[in-house]
Amino acid sequence: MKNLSQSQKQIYYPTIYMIIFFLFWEISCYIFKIPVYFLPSPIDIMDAFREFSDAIIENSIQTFYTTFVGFGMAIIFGLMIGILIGWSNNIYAGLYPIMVGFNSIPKVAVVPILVLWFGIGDVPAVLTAFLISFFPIVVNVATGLATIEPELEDVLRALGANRYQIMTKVGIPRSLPYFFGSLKIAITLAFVGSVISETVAANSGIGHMMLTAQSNFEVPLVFAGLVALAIEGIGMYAIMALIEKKFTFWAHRSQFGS
Amino acid sequence: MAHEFIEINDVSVNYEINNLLAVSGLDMKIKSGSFSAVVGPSGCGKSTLMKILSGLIKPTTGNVKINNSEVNGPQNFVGMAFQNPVMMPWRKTLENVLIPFEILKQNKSKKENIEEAIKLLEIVGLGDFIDSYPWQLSGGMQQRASLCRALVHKPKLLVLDEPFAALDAFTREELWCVLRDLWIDHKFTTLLVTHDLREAAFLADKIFVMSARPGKITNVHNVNFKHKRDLKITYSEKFVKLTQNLRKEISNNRS
Repeated sequence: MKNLSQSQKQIYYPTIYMIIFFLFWEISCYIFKIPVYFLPSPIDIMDAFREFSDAIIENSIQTFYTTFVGFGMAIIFGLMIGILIGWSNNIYAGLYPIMVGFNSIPKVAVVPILVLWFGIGDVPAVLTAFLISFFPIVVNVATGLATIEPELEDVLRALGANRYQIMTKVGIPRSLPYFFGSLKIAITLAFVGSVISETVAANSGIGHMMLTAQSNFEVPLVFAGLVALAIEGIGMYAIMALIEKKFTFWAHRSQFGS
Repeated sequence: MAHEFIEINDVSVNYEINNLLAVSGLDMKIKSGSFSAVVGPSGCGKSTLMKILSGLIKPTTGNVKINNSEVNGPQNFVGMAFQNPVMMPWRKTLENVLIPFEILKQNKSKKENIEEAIKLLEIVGLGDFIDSYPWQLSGGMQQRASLCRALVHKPKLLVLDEPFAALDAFTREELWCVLRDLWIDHKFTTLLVTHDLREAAFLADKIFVMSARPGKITNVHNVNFKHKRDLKITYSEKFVKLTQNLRKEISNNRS
């Protein structure tokens, strides 16, 4: 086992631990005779998966769709406001406290208002995903811009570069690692936002499906929805991590932790 | 012969943030094509002097003239290198050296600029590393690249702020020779700010000694060793005597 490469280890160990976890779960359910309507065993959940596969796939796509639209909006507005805040100290001083205050509102509390304005459906889910994932992008981009080494700026300023040139040549490339780092957090949050909104006010999506299953006492399906969410969440995180690695390889050269 | 290229007249700089008088009553004259060094105790305002010259900060009183016109902001004929190489880690070495061309709009084609940069990188011994990222290079190699970036647009004035201070002794002396050769070939006016008295004596024609803060010039030495100088002269009696004098003046200035 010592001969495994780093990437093999990354697959090998998590798989082993996951199998142990599910085995433990399955055996516990069997030994303690836990009723299906309380905690279904992994096999029950797999059965539910097979039985309701159409519904699960359809609703997963719906959740994926609202998450990504909200996330996309968060990227556009987050980048814009992040650059704006990083651009000028005055804007930073004025806007940042407001953003912090705004962010401290639990986003679930906003969903009823969104429903009031836009009705039940996709829009509240998209907007909740947007609202919840927008803040980390703004903060990270602004931080990246605020922590530029002054020497790096001096190199360009000494050549007579204007603010716009400093921003495009140093500011933006320098804050890309912060930006891509924030995308990993933002996508998970956007997903949370979508599902929250779906459970409160939607006609489709995994959140809605779970709620319906729960009221029908289809407990295995509730758990199958949970598993579907986990798979989707991990997938989206992995995509973001991959994009980050591709675009900001130069910022990840430390040997620390290897 | 060469006229006065730089004139610094009774300049003082007061940093408003901490109300610090960095330099005061500073007078300097530097001839075109010469190599001058500024030495002084730590914190005497050497870096401030450099920033005034490059137009990064404005003097509180007095004025700075380069080529008979007053410095009011960054100058496009100045090249700068700092103690840290300050390379952009997302750009390859060649792309880093090309930065000045991207800021200064010049009437040359991109191809010519790239050839210029590669030629310079080859001179300093980085010909095999143009496609490496700066963080893949050693400290000395990064400093060479930084020197190339300062020189690639053929500046009339090269301002160096302790460019070799972070390097080991061997690499430092190697780079002295690189800088010496570049200067002899191109004769750009050079101002070198340094802590290293041997460095100043080896490279410069004229050495300015600065006082403790607020900094001003207390002594000026003309260095008469013939160009192009060999590292051997650093062991000659005359050279050692010069550096000893400089050391004495600086320690007098400190107290």
